[in-house]
Amino acid sequence: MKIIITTISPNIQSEVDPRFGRGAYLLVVDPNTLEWQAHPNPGVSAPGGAGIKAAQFVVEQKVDAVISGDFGPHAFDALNASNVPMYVLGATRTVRNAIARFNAGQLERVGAATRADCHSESQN
Amino acid sequence: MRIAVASGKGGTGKTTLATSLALSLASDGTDPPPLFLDCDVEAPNAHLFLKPTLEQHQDVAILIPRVDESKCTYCGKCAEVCQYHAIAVLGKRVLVFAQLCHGCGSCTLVCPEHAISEIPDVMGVIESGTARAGISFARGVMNVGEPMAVPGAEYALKELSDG
Repeated sequence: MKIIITTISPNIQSEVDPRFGRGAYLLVVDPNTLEWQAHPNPGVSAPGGAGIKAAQFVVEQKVDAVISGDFGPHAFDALNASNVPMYVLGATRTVRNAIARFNAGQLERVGAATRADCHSESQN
Repeated sequence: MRIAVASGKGGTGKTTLATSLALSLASDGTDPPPLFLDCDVEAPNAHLFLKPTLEQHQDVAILIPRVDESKCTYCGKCAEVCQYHAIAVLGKRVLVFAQLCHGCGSCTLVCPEHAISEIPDVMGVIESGTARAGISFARGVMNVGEPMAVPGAEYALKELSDG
């Protein structure tokens, strides 16, 4: 099994990054063996549509789930169209804790975008 | 002569100055009468002062991609070329995010299968007519919730100042 978690540093000791599209790293982890590999999030440098770019990477990795702090509407649509289950961190702070809670079935799976898109937020 | 009145700061007197200039020119009896363009497409308000009768309404649209999935090979070139990530290839799906699209047409150009055609996506309207003192008046109005004003404003300027 393979999942992706958004992280602040490129390793499994990291804290989680609550942002999906602009979270610093995408950590690909096997939640059972804890084997991991860190990738810089390709969405970080995107002028717009960061969530879409990150989602495209996630889909290419063919993972079984993705964990982050929130998912904007574009990222949600992209991941949902590819049937990638999305989970939100809640109060979880560290990657190891997130994996433990994921394994225990304690993370909330989201069925809709968890916030408005950045364009409409900046206009209000 | 063309005079542009612009400011990045709100409340500085753009509308006051522009409408006053137009009325002043019109009262001098310039021939043809001045053409006034309100390009503040997110919140045009010059009509409050110039009181035009808006007789013509013309939709403004940008061209957004539509993918013929029977021709698409999911090669991903369209997603690669798009600077705004308005088109995403996700496995065997292609998603178009109309609100992020700037209508540049790059995806259509690079598609090796010619699977992309362009369809108009209406983002607002240009309204025009005659205002006080015979001023020719036009304004652009974006649809509520439309995130990008610049293509609409550019379109309004181009269409109207050439016409």
